[in-house]
Amino acid sequence: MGDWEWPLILFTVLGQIAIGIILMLWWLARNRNLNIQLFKRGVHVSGGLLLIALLASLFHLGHPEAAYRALAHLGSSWLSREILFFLLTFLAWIYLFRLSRQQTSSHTLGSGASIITTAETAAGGQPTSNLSLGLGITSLLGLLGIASSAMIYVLPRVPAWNNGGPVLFFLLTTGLLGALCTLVLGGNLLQTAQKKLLLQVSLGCTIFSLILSVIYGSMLSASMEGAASLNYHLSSPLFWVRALVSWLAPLLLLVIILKSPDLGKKNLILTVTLLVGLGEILGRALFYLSATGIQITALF
Amino acid sequence: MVKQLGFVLDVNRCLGCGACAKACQNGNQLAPLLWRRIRRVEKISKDQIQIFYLSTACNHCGDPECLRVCPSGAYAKRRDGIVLHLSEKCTGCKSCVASCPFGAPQYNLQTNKAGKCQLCHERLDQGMPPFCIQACLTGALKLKELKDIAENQLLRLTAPVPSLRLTRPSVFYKPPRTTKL
Repeated sequence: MGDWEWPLILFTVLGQIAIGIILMLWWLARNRNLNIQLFKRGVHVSGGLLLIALLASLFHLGHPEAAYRALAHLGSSWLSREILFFLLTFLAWIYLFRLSRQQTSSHTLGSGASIITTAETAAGGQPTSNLSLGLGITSLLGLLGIASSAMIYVLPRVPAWNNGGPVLFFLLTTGLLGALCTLVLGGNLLQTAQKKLLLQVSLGCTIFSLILSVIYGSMLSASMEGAASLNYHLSSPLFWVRALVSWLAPLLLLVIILKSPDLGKKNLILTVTLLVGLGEILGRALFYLSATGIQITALF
Repeated sequence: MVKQLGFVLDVNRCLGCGACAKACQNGNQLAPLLWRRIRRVEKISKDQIQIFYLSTACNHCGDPECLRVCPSGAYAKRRDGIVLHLSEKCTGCKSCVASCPFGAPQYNLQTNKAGKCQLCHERLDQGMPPFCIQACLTGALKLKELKDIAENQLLRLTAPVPSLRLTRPSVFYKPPRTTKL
């Protein structure tokens, strides 16, 4: 069985939230109706989270001062590729940060609603395409980084990980927490249609995550080590807390929010986000704790 | 790769005394770590019994997982097949520890780096045998050029999982005798 890998739990979950937020901003920017204040908030928060995630990852190393060497084996090591993509994501984020500094509230969309503005620069008249391109490139690099992160765990030695599970679960965390955090950051800056879209993404990711977990769990029993991982999950109180706070409660609360006429239940959205955040941290901890590797101990 | 050196263990000769493991630990100043371990294996069926000892260390695989996953290029395979861990390049990320199905690389809490059997390559280069082989009382453990051995006389320590079999461990065992009950 594995250990509590706090640096890796923080790195993966926070990194995925950061990239999820940028991904959602990119999606909202498609129709040129991304609120400039939301863009700024999103970029600042995602940058902070990405920085904390990168710093946390250093504490996993026995020699953090030698972390630069982790780029030396791009040919076959997914860990090298992960570091490369996350560094490129951070560089792309710096470009977004520069754009956010240049943006001013210039163009009012709604009558009387001065807080709703398009993401255009006043001074230079820079088109939104720059912003959309920046968000798109950052999202793409981030998603490649997350896929590389997941591929590190696709190891023949660990049957519970040696499948598409890690990639799908990591991407689902990105979508789910990205959408929820964008909802929290957006608040009143989001239009009703945008809120609805983000809530639907959250609900879809939660349902998919639940279904996938059931299928994944049933697949694990195919091997002895996989069954040991499954038993660890099912016998751990952490797993049942995770099931409650990141599947059952969000399903219920998200449906209630979606059914409300104005989708404006701020406190409920914040509650769901905190519950899902806690659930994902517990889920990631269980991911590392339940890892059971094949130990070849006999002659065949 | 020109050749592939590998351990060959005659399990019928091995007494399980642990001299090889202790010599490795002392010679390489590893305490409290052990790069070589002894395991007692018992296979009992209705009418026969097999009891033997397996002395295992790094298998210096033909296609090593540790070398594939290491992000800092801290593993290298020599032309004689020895898989080397280059401590000066290791960042202590534990990727190799997690990926090796044989549990060969171990994390050293004193150095915060991984380490594993290096097949005493420096001694080999000077014409001396590895510590473990020198210490073996019965000559059960030997180092051989694997191409010179008829494989049908040997067993390979390997896994039932095809993707792990692909690591091609370079360690062979002479099959254990069975005793009728």
